[in-house]
Amino acid sequence: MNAAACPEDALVRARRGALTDDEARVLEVHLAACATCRMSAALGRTVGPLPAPDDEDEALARRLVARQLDDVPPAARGRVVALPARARRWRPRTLALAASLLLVASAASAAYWTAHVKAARRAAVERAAWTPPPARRSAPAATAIERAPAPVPVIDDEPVAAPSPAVRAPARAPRTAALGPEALLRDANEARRARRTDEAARGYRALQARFPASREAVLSHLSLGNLLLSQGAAAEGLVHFDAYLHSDGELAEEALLGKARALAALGRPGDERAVWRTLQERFPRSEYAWRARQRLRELDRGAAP
Amino acid sequence: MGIALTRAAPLEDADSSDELRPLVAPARAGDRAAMRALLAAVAPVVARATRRVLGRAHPDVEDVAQQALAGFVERLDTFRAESSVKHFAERIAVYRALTARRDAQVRLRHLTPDLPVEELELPDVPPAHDVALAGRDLRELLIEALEALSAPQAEALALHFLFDHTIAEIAGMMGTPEETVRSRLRLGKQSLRARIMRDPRMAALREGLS
Repeated sequence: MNAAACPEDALVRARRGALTDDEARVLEVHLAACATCRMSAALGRTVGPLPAPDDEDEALARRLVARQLDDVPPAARGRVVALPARARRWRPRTLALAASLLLVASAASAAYWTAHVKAARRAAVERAAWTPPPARRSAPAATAIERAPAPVPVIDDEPVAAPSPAVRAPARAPRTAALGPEALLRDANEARRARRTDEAARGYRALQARFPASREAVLSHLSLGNLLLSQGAAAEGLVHFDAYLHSDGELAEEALLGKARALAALGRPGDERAVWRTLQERFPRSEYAWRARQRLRELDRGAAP
Repeated sequence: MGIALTRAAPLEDADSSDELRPLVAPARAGDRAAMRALLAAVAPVVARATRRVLGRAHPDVEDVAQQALAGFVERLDTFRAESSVKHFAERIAVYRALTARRDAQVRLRHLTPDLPVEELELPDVPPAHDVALAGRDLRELLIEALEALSAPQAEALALHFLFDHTIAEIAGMMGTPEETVRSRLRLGKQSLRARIMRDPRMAALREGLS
């Protein structure tokens, strides 16, 4: 079989389920004679379908945009420069080039940053809160985010499962005893990304117990809330979303989203409706506003989550 | 023949009509609202593409995706509308993610210069009869195998296998003639096939190849 004549697009369209019967028969004949295309078909099955974006994709996308906009001055004031990531640190030439360009861009956009210092500080806090590599840490966060969160839920009349004993008095592993809040958050986040969920939850709880007023502890309520919600522990997750919201943190949109999802999982449509409306009122331009509208329509129709 | 080809998931992001294209010129000109809207639309594509290539739990996903989004902004001036805006962003993300994987391999070689290259490429290969890899592991092996190819071949194969793009779509995304893409796919598949035949961990993919 002449590999140059292989029907690459037919293989793609077959994976998409878009072949007609006639096209499928032609492809079958080709596959019978072409080992390379049989391999392609096998590889296609192995790779599996491209998954639809999930909550993690959306959350990641939101963080990416927030950080990128912080790096995007108006075009007239200079070019945007990609910060060197960990993956490229070992390349001195790349690093030097990036540093030089960053310097030029920084000088060109000084007026912009001066005029927008408040917004920049807010974004820097957000950036530091979400991914805190030491080299990119911002200045101390705003007062509001350092406020210690309340330990109890605040909006509901219905009983909510009490926080687990670990929330009140977490076990402290010897290794974490000497770690500061940054390291505890980093380790817990790494454990969460590696799907070591129990270890991640222990880390967040240790952080909250040992440094309750730190911004890392405040942020960890949101991370732990999402983690617990993903494990089906909606009631306990709700406690942490409320704790985060009480701290008036910068990521209240995400906390309201998590809280609404937790209430949906708990089958409390009245409270869930109130949270979606709060999200709409406080953040009318939120990227989650469409979800709020959609879910409120579903609730009006009496739909289950 | 008995080879099932159809996947369960529906086709996404075909982008025959590109509603994002009108945002490109104002975003280039410094309109922050346009840039914000553009980034909000392409960031999920970038996030998904990065995670698709690196793996969902890879510790560098966030850094690499951020690099890719920054790369999208940097290269917006070069956008020629040969593909959709989302495909343009996706291609950048795939390229960055593949580069990150390749860089990690090179870094490993720098850190362990005494280790033979073949051991780095095929670490701890057990006998085939001891290997029972799940689909996810096979997928990871496949992506690992792409690292051994030339960058253009790896990119074309990734867009073809991981993202189900046609030759015309890949040509538009990479800004190359369709015949060039076809050639890269053909040569890349030959290399992959050789890899599959010699790597016992990929034995499950050998059915019908000989």
